[in-house]
Parts: sequence; C-alpha cells; structure tokens
Amino acid sequence: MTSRCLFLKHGFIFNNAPLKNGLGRFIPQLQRVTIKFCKESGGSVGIRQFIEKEVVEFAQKNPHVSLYLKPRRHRDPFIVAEYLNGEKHHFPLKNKDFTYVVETVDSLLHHSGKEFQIQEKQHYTDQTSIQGMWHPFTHVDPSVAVSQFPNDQFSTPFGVPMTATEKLKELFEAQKKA
Amino acid sequence: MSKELFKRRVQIRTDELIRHGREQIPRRSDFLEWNYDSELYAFSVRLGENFDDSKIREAFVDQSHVEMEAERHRALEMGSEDEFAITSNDRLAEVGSTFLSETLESYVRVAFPFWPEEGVQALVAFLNSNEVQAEISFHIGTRDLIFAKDYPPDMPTYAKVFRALVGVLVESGHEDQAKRFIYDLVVPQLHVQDINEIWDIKDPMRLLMTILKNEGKSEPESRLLWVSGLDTIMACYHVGIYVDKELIGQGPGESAEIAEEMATRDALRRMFRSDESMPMIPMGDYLDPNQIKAGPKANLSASEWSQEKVLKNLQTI
Repeated sequence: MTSRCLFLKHGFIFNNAPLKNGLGRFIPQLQRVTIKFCKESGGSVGIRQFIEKEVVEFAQKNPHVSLYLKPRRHRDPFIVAEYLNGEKHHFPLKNKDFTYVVETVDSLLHHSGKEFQIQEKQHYTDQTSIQGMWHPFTHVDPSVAVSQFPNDQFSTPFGVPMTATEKLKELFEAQKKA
Repeated sequence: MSKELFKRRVQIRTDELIRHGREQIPRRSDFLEWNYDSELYAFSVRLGENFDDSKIREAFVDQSHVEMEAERHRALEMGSEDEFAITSNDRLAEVGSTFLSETLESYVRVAFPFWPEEGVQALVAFLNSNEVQAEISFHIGTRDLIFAKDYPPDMPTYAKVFRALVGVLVESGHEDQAKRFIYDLVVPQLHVQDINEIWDIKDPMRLLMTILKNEGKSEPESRLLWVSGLDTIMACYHVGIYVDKELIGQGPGESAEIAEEMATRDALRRMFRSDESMPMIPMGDYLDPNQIKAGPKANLSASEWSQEKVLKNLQTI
C-alpha cells in the first residue's frame, strides 16, 4: 500500500450508470483516446510497440472511439482517455512495457468514466421497497390499536428467557397436579 | 503525484477566477488533435444510427454560431454574405420536437393506460423538458460537436441539438428508427423518477370524490387507524380511507390533515396503478414498438375517470 491511496477521492455510488445506460440501448462510454508519445526516447518503447502491433486492430474493433496519435519529441508518453460524462483521464506510461500498455487500454475501454474513488458503501438500489415505506405501524398487531395501556401482554419484552424462579414455580405446579 | 496535479489545477482555476471572473474551459475543437469527420463517424457508430451526413452537420449548428459567423464575414468584407450562409438547426429541431411530442404521448398512453389525460400530459411535458433532453444530449457526446457561441453550450442549446438529431432521422425517412431512438434514450429517464410527483394533483380529495361519484360508490370516509407520539414533535398519525367499509388507501403524516391527504393520494395511486408495487414500464428489450399505435385515443380525463370505463376502453383496443 502506497501513500497515493490517501489522496484518492472517497465516496459512494448514487446512480447506476450515466443516463440509465443499458435500460434502453447500450452506449459505450469511451469517447476519445489520445496517445501522446515520443518517436525516439526509450521511455516510449512499450507504447511504440503498441502502436506498431495493436493500434490498427484497436481502431477497427472500436469504431465508436476516435483515436489520435500525437508524437511529441522527448516528452513522457501519456494516454488521455475522454469519456461521455465529460471526464478526462490521464495515464502516464513512461518506461512501461507493451503488456502494461495493452492492459491499460483495455481497462480504459470498459470504464464508465466515473472518477476513481474509494467506495465507502458497497450497496446501491434504484428500487425503493415495493411494499411501501416503513412507518411505526408496519406489521403491528391490529389488536394493539384498541387495547388499553398499561397492558401486561404488550408491555413484556419479546424473547426474554424464563427465569429460574418461574421455572421452579412451573415445576411445582406440575408436581401438585400429579 | 495526483495530489500535486490537483493542487495545480486548483491554483489555475483560482487564478482564472480572479482574472476573468470565471474558469475558462478551452474548446475541445481548438486542440491540435481534432478531426470533426472522424468524431461525427464515431458519434453515429456509438448510437448505432445511420445519420444522413449533410443533415447531421446541420443539426449541430446553433443559431448563435450562424450569427457569429455572419458578423465575422461582415467585418472581413469578403463579399456577399449569402456565399457563406450556413443553416442553423432551427428547422430540424422543430421537426424533431413535433415528432418527439407525438411519439412520447402515444407511448405514455400505452404504458400508463389507467392514468388520466392530465397525468399523461404532465409526464410528456417532463420528458420534453429542456433539463431532461439536455442531459441526454450531453451524455451521448454532443458537447464537443456543437457549433455554438458558448463553450460548454448552455442547456437550451443541448436540448435543441437533441431534438434536431431526432429531426434528422425523421427527415431521412427513418421514422421507425427515430421512434426506437426516442424509446431507447428518452423513455428510460422515467426510471427511478417518482412519477406520482411529476403529476402534481392539486386537490386529491376532490378528485377522489369525483371518481367515486363516477363509479357510483358512496362518499369516502377517513378514519384514524393509528396514532403515536401525540403532543410531541415526532407525532405520527395514520389515516385510512374507507369506501363502503373497504379500505382503499392509507398514509402517515405529522398531523391528521396531512395524513388524510397522504391517504387520499395513496388511494388515487392504487386506482391509477402507479403505486410502489406497479410493474416496470416497458422499455429496452421489453418494449414492442408495434404495441404502440400512432396517435391513439386520449386517455380519459380526470373528471370522467372510472375504472369500468378504462377497462372497457382497453378491451376495445
């Protein structure tokens, strides 16, 4: 664990997908990818290999992504991904090998574009209860409404085990009957 | 490192706020890596639609951009203005707007057959509102494609572009495609929305009494079912509405009057089949476009609504 996790945003999910994506039709969220790299320096080796081997196939397979290659002399390589929700994600790829670049691009492709954040709550639901909202009288015995209080029957707490004295009394009663 | 980047971003933003009064967001199309043709192609593929190429270009041009360009040409004195005339999306938006209203109206009537016409119109107005359509427009990626004076464009511009996109599909003669486009993008915006809040019934008790009169039933009778925490700030009254000794709705409230209104609204929800346990409205794969006929009869209005009449109407369709 590095200290970087301290700076990540904390939060929780409050909607499932942007624009209720997938309820009607599914719209892939990755909009634009810019690959910024250097044609000479060693730091861009992995990304140059990716451009030689994979980039054409990537563009053919994903026509919904507009792909730009931006060579910049002696600058660090970056991948900038832009999403439909307006977010822009930068990934520094200096000294990263070919496999790492492929993995990064793959993760970009399936991301919703939501800012990375540490999840503080793992549950989320769109549907409220179909039985209606809870109120103090949900599942209450209707006889409570007409009974007079204080009331022995409704004043005893639920689930209290029998005391030793009560048990003894019960045994004594049983013995007397026999 | 991310903290360092964030710190710089905040510094730049503060600096711009002090200098210019607002943060200046650079236009994406001003960047070096920008190809409008490829962006347009990606846009159509993303939505899975075949937009007519010349028309979709027109759909993204806002009137403010047309005026800006005309002024620029006038200043440059480059000959007649007609030569550089561009058409804005006004006409397409109008076509789209009419089509959207018609399609949504017939959809809502089929999806909510038990709703009175007033409620149907409220739902259609909600789906047709600038807020909802601007949200859709933004999330399908029109922000960088729009030609407008402001960047990012304002809400009415976003909404207008969305209507113009529907207009493009209609003008190209793909009416079925346009309908599917609306069902897939606009209709799901009803999901998670509390539809009973969209249609605000002003006087629920009067409406309930009218309906009961139409159905030939006796007057509603409110009874206090439960009460707790009397004379405290947490008081909770629970009122039920009875008609002919039958409970038709119940609801809680912090005073007896509020609880009675809640109970009335609950009774109306149950009558109009839009309570919590209503089935999901048809959308996506569960929606058969053939079910929705073009321009069906209007639903019953609230003043003449009765369950018997609605069921009778449903049988005749």
